[in-house]
Amino acid sequence: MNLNDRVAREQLLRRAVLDGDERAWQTWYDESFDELQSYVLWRCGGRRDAADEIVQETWLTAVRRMGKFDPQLGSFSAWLRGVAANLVRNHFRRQRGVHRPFPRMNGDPVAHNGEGTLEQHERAERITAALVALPDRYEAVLKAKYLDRLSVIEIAAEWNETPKAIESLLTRSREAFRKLYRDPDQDLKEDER
Amino acid sequence: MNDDEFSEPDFVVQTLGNAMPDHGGPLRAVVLARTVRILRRRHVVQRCTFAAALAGCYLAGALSVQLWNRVSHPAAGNLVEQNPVIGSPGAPNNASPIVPVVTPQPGAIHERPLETADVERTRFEALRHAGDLQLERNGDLQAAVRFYKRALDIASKEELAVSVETDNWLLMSLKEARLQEAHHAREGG
Repeated sequence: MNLNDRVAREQLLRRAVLDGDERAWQTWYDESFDELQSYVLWRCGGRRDAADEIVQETWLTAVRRMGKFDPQLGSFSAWLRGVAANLVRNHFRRQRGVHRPFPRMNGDPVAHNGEGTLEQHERAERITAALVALPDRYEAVLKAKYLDRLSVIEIAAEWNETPKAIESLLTRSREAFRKLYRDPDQDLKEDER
Repeated sequence: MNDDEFSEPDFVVQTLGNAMPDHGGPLRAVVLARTVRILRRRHVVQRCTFAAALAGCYLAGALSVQLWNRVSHPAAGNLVEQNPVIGSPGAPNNASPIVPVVTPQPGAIHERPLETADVERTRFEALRHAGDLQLERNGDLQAAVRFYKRALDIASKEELAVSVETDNWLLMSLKEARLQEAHHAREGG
């Protein structure tokens, strides 16, 4: 579907939803639910309990604020992901305010013993914290690579970049992720962004 | 560099792992139900707001009409007691300085629908009606006399005849005076 078709279709759906058309809403819902849930699970580091809460809150926010969605600025899926990302960030900040800060990790986190629900929980929280702290472009390329399972060439084509540029970006993103995973409170240097 | 290097086991791959959606879970149905409820509630509120706006416009219009009627046609109670300016030739002989208050008679002007828009009037009737309005609504005797005189100027023989059922005291007086003038004119001439 080209850009104009996508915009026209989403404008029609948006108008129908604002007029109370349940079928239009369900069309959008069915098309976007799986993708949104995958994305939120990713952002929550695999923690299903937090992800379910955020998925629910995202859809409720979307139906309440449908009037603010503008198809010309981006797709409905992208808008949903933006809403979800903000909810994940806020959710994480609330939790960080309650729990003690993460201890700094030395060495490769892979070597860390991942067994036990408490450790899984902390691991998921670290992932969430690292993804929240990553610059948007780094998070986007990691998502494209590891969640959407796109190849470097496919990402380059979609982003209108060269494969070399994407490879370089992936390298920087992964390094930044490692650093933030070890110490979520550290600030990335300018050249690491 | 090729893409294969990124497919090797990697900290990031292991850490981020697979985030698979829960296709068959209850979350999907629960969230759909909640969002549809919000959609329905908003639709009902929209309709009620629209209906309230329509009702408000209707009331505003009705109020405007009422205010307009009050301003342009102030209520006339009983006829004002005032000295009639009937020094004119058409004045009745027994005119007293004070005009007696006329109480509504059955079939009198008050009960006749004065503002029936769909009634076709002859010119005589239109002038007569105007005189009625001046007398009944505005209490303006001079204006009423002017309209009645113009009506009598163009009245037919039947219309000149006094009618106890339909003519008010002023019109009757003017008609009688007009008839006396005509009678004197015939005898004198």
